[in-house]
This record gives sequence, structure tokens and C-alpha cells, in this order.
Amino acid sequence: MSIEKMHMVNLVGAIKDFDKLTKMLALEGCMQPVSALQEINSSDFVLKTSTDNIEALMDVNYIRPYVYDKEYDISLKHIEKLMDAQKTFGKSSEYDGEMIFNFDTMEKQLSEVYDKYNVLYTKLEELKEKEQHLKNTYQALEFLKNVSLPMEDITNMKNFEMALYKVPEQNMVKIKANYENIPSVIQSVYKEKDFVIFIAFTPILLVVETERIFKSANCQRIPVPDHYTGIPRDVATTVRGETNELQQARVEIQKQLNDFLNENYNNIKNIQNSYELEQKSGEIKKSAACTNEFFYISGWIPKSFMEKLNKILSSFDGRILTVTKEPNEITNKEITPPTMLINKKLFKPFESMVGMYGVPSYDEIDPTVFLAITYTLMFGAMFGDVGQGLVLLLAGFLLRIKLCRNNLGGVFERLGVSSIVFGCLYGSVFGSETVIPALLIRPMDHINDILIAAIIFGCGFLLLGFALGITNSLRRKDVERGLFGKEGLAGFMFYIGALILIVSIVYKNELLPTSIWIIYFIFFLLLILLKQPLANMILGKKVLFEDGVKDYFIESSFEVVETLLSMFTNTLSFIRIGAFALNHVGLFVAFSAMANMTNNGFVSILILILGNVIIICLEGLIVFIQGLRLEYYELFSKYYEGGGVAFEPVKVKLT
Amino acid sequence: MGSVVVFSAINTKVKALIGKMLSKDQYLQLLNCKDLKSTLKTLKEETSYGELLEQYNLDKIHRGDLEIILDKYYISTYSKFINYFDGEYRKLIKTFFIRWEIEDLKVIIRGKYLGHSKGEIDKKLIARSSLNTINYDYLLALKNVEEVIEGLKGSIYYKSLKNLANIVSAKGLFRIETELDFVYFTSVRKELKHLDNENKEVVYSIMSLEADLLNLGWIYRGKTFYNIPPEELFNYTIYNGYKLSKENLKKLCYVNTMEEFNNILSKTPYASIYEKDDSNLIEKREREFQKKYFKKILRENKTNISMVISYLTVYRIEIRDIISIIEQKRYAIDKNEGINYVSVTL
Repeated sequence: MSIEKMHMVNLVGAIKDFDKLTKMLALEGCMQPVSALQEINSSDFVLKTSTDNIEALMDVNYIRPYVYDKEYDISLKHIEKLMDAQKTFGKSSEYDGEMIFNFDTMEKQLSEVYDKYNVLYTKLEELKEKEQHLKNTYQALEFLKNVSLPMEDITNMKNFEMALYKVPEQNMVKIKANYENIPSVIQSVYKEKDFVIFIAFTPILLVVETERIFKSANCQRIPVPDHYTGIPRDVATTVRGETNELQQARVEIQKQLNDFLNENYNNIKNIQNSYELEQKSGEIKKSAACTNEFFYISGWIPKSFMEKLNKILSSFDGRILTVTKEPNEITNKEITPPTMLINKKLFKPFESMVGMYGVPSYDEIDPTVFLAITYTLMFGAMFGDVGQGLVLLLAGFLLRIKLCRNNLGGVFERLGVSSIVFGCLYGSVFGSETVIPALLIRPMDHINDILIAAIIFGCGFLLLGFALGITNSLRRKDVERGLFGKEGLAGFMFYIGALILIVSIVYKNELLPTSIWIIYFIFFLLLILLKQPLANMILGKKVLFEDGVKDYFIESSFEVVETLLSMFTNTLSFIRIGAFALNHVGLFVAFSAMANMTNNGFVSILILILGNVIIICLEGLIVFIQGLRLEYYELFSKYYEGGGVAFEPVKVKLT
Repeated sequence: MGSVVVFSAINTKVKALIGKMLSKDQYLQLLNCKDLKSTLKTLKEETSYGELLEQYNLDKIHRGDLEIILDKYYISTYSKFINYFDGEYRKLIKTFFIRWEIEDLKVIIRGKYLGHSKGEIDKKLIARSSLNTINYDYLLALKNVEEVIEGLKGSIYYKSLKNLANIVSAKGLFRIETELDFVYFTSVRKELKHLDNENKEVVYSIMSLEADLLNLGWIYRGKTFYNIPPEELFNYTIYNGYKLSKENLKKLCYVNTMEEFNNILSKTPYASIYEKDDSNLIEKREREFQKKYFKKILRENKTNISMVISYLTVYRIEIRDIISIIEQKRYAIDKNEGINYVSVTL
């Protein structure tokens, strides 16, 4: 329901505990680190002078930023390869929580697993290549199949050499273009993706030269085994047989590899998680400071997480010193405490809608609850329909469960419920007003009432907004805005006055004489006009006008005009709640009229269904946006700044 | 209509960036500076590079480091362009970027071959960005060239380098580097298929122009300095054929004298680059030629991809020029000689 209290926690301990502590902090995910050196320099990091702390205190003189210099880029790549290889297994991940804290153990375990994997993998690759070569040989033999000479005669020619080459396609073009200058007979026998296989007969005398030319075209020589005998047609059959053997061997190795990965599934997972932890703890380490003996960590920890911290610290038997401070005790004003919102489950999804505008700053009131209630009410009032609300509710449910869109799904569900409730009040099911009776009112029959109710509704919201705004300003000790601003007390009093005046005129019941009303309004407008000098007078500042008198009056007189205008428009703006409630009915009336015009029962049902889909999608979207507009523009501008920073602890995501 | 949506924003951006480029006066101003210090001062105070150089202490900066800083600046401008595109054009920009990644990859491989330390190599890399297709940290952590090539497994480069891993030597490095360059051209060529006709034409012509110039440079150097056999010369060309037809490309590889070379070139737009047989000036004329060609495209201001690519090329030339000027000043080369290395003429 509010913003969580933050503590600035400073930790000092012996350097040997450093790694373990940072890892445990990252594992719990309870701390957002800040630069420890900055903290120490700003003298917020104060250790009490006592005999217990004397060593740490002496050491402070030699303090420097901690340099995180572990290198494990290769290990990360190895892990990535292993994870890629076992990705296809889809084994349910039952993480057994075994983390390796020690860096060297971690490296050792990884290299053990990886080496074993690599042996198998290399074997597999070799077999694949051999297989490929045999296949290419087979293709070459296909080309020679009509030759009736035995193979050994072909490979052992006295004046010619036969060789098989693989060459990138674009280079084959060049070789072709230059046939007349290459001293060999070339015939391409096969084309695979991006590569061409060709067979070349070269006079033995010119082999060296040709070899050089082929090399410069990036030709790769494919070794042809020389133990074959018989005519090419028979050799081809032999080669085919060998290929099959190789294929079997390859399948065997592949199986071994899979078994190995399967056996080590958890092991690899653990190692991966351990590296993840190492990286995350590195983030904390990088902001730490150290001396030869001690380390110094600073960071924000929410009050509710302090217990976690204490649990971590207790495992160090009191070897770690802690200094905890409240944000208001901090002298360094450059460090702003981060904001962590705590809301009941019912309101939680709406945090994302507040976040779209801005995260509340640490000393602000969290507007989530207010937004959640007003927004749901407004949405329901604009989009009141039992059937369509049910669709929204279902959609939200699906979004949340199937697509894991917790926030959006949650918001949809709540809006759906609100829509159902208002649907009952309006007596509307899928647009039809004949199915159930209206518990409260039928919008189309009481147009004026609905519109007026919407404005009254809005006035209430605005007054609440004013109240929140004033509290926020006063909390920040912002007198100018809180007391005399147009969103402050002066504006509030003016607005109430205006409301009372209008009500009394409507009911023809004069409460106060006109002259008093005039004095009342002018008084508050003057307060708004003179807000800066007045505030400065109260605060006892010497300068009344910060940017010069002339500029100030020009600016603030416009502001007074704007105040009058915006109060009027802001209030009227809420008419849209009523208008959309009518619009909702209106749209359906149009569709049902269309459905009635067709005499065909099937078509009219089709039109009604289509109409409902359009209403839900189109009107639902419009109402969603209009509601947001009312929240952001009419209400948030009154009381909310949203200039905060979200609390983002360093946390390991375990897979 | 479609192309307006895709290109109007980026073309406006390009126009704005062109406004920031060095004018001829600024070039002359830089060339007229007496020493390195005053050149850097001028660069900082009189040109748009001031923004970049603001954060550095120019009294202490090493010339070589400045080169890297400028190159990195180029890359950061480059990688921002990606935000203006989606779909095919996003891929295209990424493919064009491969070129710079390849330059870095060459540095890594050469560094590993020479046994340089990880830090040393890392300092010279310029193209680390969000557009990378390879993992720099991993490659840097590997021990030697074989491991680096093995480490490229799964990347677009592996297929071409695979059978070169076992022949690592000074000559082997050349082959590795050439293969990498080919990867760039092959990738762009592949990407062409996904573009509409107008842009396909544009990208093809720009890429082919680059290929032509590279081929000419390669053949010229191979002939004049290294005496490489024609078959090899030919095999290492980018076999594309644009203003320099495929037949002529082959003929060039087999010429015996520079006269024949120039004769074949005389009917192509590249004649002017090689007409005076002074190898020192070739690079300057090449840059000038490119600058003229791309400036013309920039003036035409068409709503297609040509603006972006042309700008990137012209901007690249400018950076090269600045680096060249800084080098001249550092080694106290006379202004009249120095201008021979910059793409402007007095």
C-alpha cells in the first residue's frame, strides 16, 4: 500500500569473506549496490571508533576501488555451447540448488565436462567430414562410371594426376573463366550449397603450378583413398558401403554424446548457474571498495529484506560489520534512495500503469491504490456490460496464465469484473438491454442524469487528487506548491468555493452575498499570483522573487488565467465517462438496427457477433485510453511527479 | 510512397550530417597548420570534431590513439544509423557493417599470429558495437590463430576460413585476409536479392564500384611490385564486373606492360586514376574519384538507400584524410607534398 522504507547498508569485512558475501547477496537479490568509494568520501560510511573496529579504521587510509579482474570469456562460450547442445532435450529442469562458489572449482568442473564433451564432439565432426568426403568421392565416381579401366590405373597414371577439389561457388566462376590458362582438365561433378566439387586431371609436370592456382582460389583438396581396386562402377558400390558404415559409426557417437549430455544435465545446469552467479556478484564487486585486508560494500536494502540480510550475515559469525542508515540521515544528497512499491495483490497489476507515467520518488505517496480504484470505476462506468466484461475477464485470465503477461492480464481481469458489475447496474448483456433488468439506471433513458453523475464523480476524484497533492507537497516541505500553488491549498479552496457557488446557484439557494464570493475568489487567486514571494516570506528567505519581479508577474498572471481555465476544463473532462457509457449503448443500437434490417436470422446473428467483437476491441481500446488520459492528465498532474528510480537489486536468474 | 516512409527521416539526418563535414577551407586551414599541436587545436576549435575531442587532453594524446578514436567515432555514427531502418534495410546496413568487423577480425588474427597480448590487440579494435556478429571477448581470450578460426565456428566467416586454419604462415595470413574480404562482398551480394529493383541497382553499383577500384589496385600492385603470376592475380580479384568488364579484368591480369594496362583502362571511367604512372598519387586520385562520384549521388538527393551509403563512404574518406593530415604534421612533411595524400586539390 505504500513505498517501502529503504536502508543504506554499509558492510565491512575481511577480504576472504568478500566472494562468499557478494554471492550470497546476489543469490538473495536483496541489494542495489552504490559506489562504496563515493559513500566513504561523502562521510556517510562512518564506523564508530572502538577497539573492535580499530583495524578496519586504520585500513581506511589505503582504500581504493575494487578491481574485478576475473576472466572467463572462454568458459562462458563453452557453457553456451554445452547449453546449446542440450537445449534439444527439453528435460524438465529440477534445479537441485547446488551452487559452486569457488571460482577455481567452477573452472575445473567446467573444463572436465567440456573436455569430455569436446572429445566426443570432435570425433563426431571428424566422422561427418569423412562421410562428406566419401560422398564427394562417390559423386566423382558417378562421373567416371562409364570408364572401364580399373581404378588403380586411373589413380596411378604416369603422366597425369587425378584429384578431387571442393571450391566456393564464386571462385568456380573465375576458374571457368580462365580455363584456357589453367594447365589441367577440369570437370565439375557435383554442386552443393555454395560449393562446387570438381575433378581435375593435371600433367604431373605442372602439378606444382596448378596446385598454386587452385590454392589461390581457395580450393580444398578432397582426399581419395587409394586402396580401391576395380572399375569405377564397382568402386562406387564399395564407397557407398563404406559411407553407410561411417554413418552408423556417426549415429553411435551421436548417441554417446547425447547420453553424456543427458547424464550431466544437472551438472551443466549447476555450472551455468554458478557462472551466472559469478557474473552477478561481479556487479556488486565492481561497486565495492577495498584495501589489502578489508572490503567495503554499500547498497540499498528495503526494510522487509533486512531479515534476509541478517540471515546471510549470521552465517559469517559476526565477522562482518554493518552500518545501517535511514535515507534522511544521509548527508550526500546526490544519492537518491530507490523506490520499491508494496501493494496488495488486488492492486499490484496497476503498478505497471503508474510505471508508464513514472516511478514515484522515494518520499512521494504511491498513487497505485488511488489509480487502481478510480481507474476500475471509470472503466466500468464507461464500458458497463455483463457479457463483454466476461470476455475481458477471460482474456485477462488467458493473458496471465498462457502468455505470462501478469500485469496486463491482471489489469484486464479487474477491469472485466468492474465492467460486469456496472453491466448489472445498467442491465446490459452483450449490448442487449432486454435480458436482465437494470439494477440502477438505463443510460440511454436518463442521458442528463448520467452526464451530471459523471461530472459529480469527477469532482470527487479531483478533490481527492487535490488532497493527495497537498499532502505530497507538504511532505516534501514544498510550501510554494503545497499552500499557494494552483494544485495546492489555495487552488483547492478556490475549487471548493466554485463548486459550492455553482451548486447554490443551481438550487437557487443563496448561501453568501455576491460581494463575499467575489472577495473569496479574488483572495485565493491573489494567493496563487503571489505564491513565490509568500512562500519565501514564510520560509524566511531574503529574496522574494527568484527570477526578477517582471518575469515573475508575467508568468504567474498567465498561470492564474490557466488555473481558471484548467479547473473548468478538468472538471468538464469527466463528462466523457458519461458520454462513453452512452456511446457504448449507442454503438450497439446501431448494430442491432443493422441486424434487424436483414430478414435472415443467420446474418443478423452474424452482425450481432461482429458488432460485439468490434465494440470490445474498438470501444474497449478507446475507453482504456480515455481512462488513462483522465488519470494521467487530469489527476496525476495535480498530485504526482513520478521522478523516482525503481529499486533494482542485483539478482541471479536461475534457469 | 513506401520509399518516402523508409528514407525521408534518414536522408534528412544525412543532410544534417553532411553540413558538419569539413569544407575545403577547413581542409586548407588544417593543411596550413605549422605543427601537430596547432593542427589538433584547429581540429578541435574550428571543426565539428571538437565535440569528440572535447574529452581528450590533446597535449598528451598519442597520434596512433587519435587514429583509433577517429575510427571509433566513425563506427559509432555508423551504428546509430541502424535505428532508422527495419526489415530488409536493417539487414542491409548490418551486412555493410561486416566490412568493419572484418577489419577488426584481421587485426585479431594478425595480432594472435604475432603473439600480441589481449590488451594490445583490444586497443586497436574499432568496430565493437551492437551490430557485431562475433563475440569479441571470446575471440580475444583465445590463444592462437587456429583457435580463433575454430572459435569462429557458427559465424558467417567459418566456412571460408575452415580449410585455411592449418596453413598459418605469413603467406597464409594473406589468404585468410583475402577470404575475409570476399565474405563481405558475398554477403552484400546475397543481401541484394531481398531489395526492390531501384535499391538493388543502387547498392549493386556502389558495391561494384568499390570492387572495381580494389581490383585495379590489386592488379596494379601485384604487377608493379610483387610480380604475382596472372592466374593467381585473377583468382584473388573480386569477380564482379561493372564499369570494368569481366573480360577486361582478365585481360588486365595478363598484361605485360603498364602501357597495355592503361590502354585497357582508357575506355573506362577509371582511366584518370592510373594515367600518370606515379604510384604515390594513385591513392589520392582514387579517393578523389570516389569523392566526386558519391558527392554527385548526394547532390541528386534521391529517396533511396544511395544517400546513406554515399555519406558513409564520403565520411570515411574524410576521416582517412584527417588521419593522413595528422600523420603529416607529426612527421613534419611539407604542405606541398602533404596535399598529395589528401583527397583535395588546390
